[in-house]
Amino acid sequence: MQNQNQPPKKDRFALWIIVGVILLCLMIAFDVRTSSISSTVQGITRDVLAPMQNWSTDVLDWWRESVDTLRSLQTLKDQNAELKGQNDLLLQAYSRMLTVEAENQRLQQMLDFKQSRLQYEIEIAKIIGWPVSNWSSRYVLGLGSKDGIAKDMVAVSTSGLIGKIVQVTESTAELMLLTDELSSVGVRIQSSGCLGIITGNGAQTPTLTMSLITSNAVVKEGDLVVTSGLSDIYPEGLVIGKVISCTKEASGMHQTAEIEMISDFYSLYEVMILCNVQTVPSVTAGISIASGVIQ
Amino acid sequence: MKQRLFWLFIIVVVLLLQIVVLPYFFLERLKVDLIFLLVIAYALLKGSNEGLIFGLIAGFLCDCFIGQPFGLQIVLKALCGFAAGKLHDMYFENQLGVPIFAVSVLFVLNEIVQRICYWLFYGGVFWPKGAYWRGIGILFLQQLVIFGLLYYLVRYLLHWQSQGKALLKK
Repeated sequence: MQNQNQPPKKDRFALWIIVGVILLCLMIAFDVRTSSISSTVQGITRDVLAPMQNWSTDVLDWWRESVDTLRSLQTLKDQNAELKGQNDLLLQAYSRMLTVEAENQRLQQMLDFKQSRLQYEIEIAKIIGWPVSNWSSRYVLGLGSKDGIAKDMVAVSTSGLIGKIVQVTESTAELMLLTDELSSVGVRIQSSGCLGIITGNGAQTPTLTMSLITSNAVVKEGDLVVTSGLSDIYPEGLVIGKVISCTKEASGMHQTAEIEMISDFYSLYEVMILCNVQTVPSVTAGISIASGVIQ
Repeated sequence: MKQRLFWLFIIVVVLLLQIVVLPYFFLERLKVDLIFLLVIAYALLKGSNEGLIFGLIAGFLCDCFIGQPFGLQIVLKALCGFAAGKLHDMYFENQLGVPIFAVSVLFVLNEIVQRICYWLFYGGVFWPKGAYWRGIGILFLQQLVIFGLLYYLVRYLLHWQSQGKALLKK
């Protein structure tokens, strides 16, 4: 027989639900501020799941490559005939290329000199996990601390900057894309040299916002935006995107530009992680921040 | 207990499909949320209390793998399970009208609530433009098709379980 003082079963269930919801809300609020719960729990889960995920991605890669090979067999015959014709043209181009190569060598030496402040190794990491939510801009990579990956390492694709590592476990790493609302990168416009900060607008917004551009800076549509190098994380000169539009802020002190990204984050299977990035902020760079323009 | 473990196994399998396999076929901005569809299908067939618990566990596993803030998926999936479960007694299992209505409404609400949460917690543009709107219609149709398959699969598995139970009793 049910105790008279005890609430009915339905009420007790509702009470549990209310308590649960309050606890969950508190947990969410705590995690928004510190990320400590998510990093701890997700770290353990990912290390457990990583071998399974690596195996799955390997199988899927093999399958994708097999399908691609089968598809390409059909076109190989046509391509062979076309290539024979192209071969003659290439022989002519080869002699021209030798001249260009010599020129390229000279330019390369100049470029090496310019980039001598940066020294980094590259690790290629497979993406082994995508977010469940369409609103999240974080990927899980198949390399972790045992492979030399550390927090705040920079991830790039062949087109340019993608994001940075925000969390590392022994065998996985979490990559925060530039589109993430918490992402912010110090950048400059390549043509004019004016500085700014790029922030993400969420996973579903393909454009980034470049803010804090000085009001007198000349910003044109199509201008290339690269990392400024005035940071301990991002090396100088990594391409991010192009300016789409630029508007003056209401205060009149700064301008804000909309940036179209160069890299297509949604067709990536692997990313390159820059290890051992060493940026040396110079005295002139410090002056540049104050004036807002790199000379 | 065995039944609960069986469904836990199903959630883990679907979660792995969601985070590892699915992106290979949906390498776009928008992806079908298999866990969301599984929670709704299960809740519709089992009722609100079962749906709520199933949603809690599924959301917890989602949050355990990836996503911030921790707990958001737990709340959303549990609410979806609870809401879908409320429709349990309103239709016959073999009618797809109510399930399709449920998944359509909850899909829209889920997207809106998630966006508002992300915006409140982390800022950014309130609502995206361009690519999102071009993809959302296709995603909606994909969700409906996959949900139909998943619904029948869950129904089949539940029947299979209840038949097993009945045989054991005999």
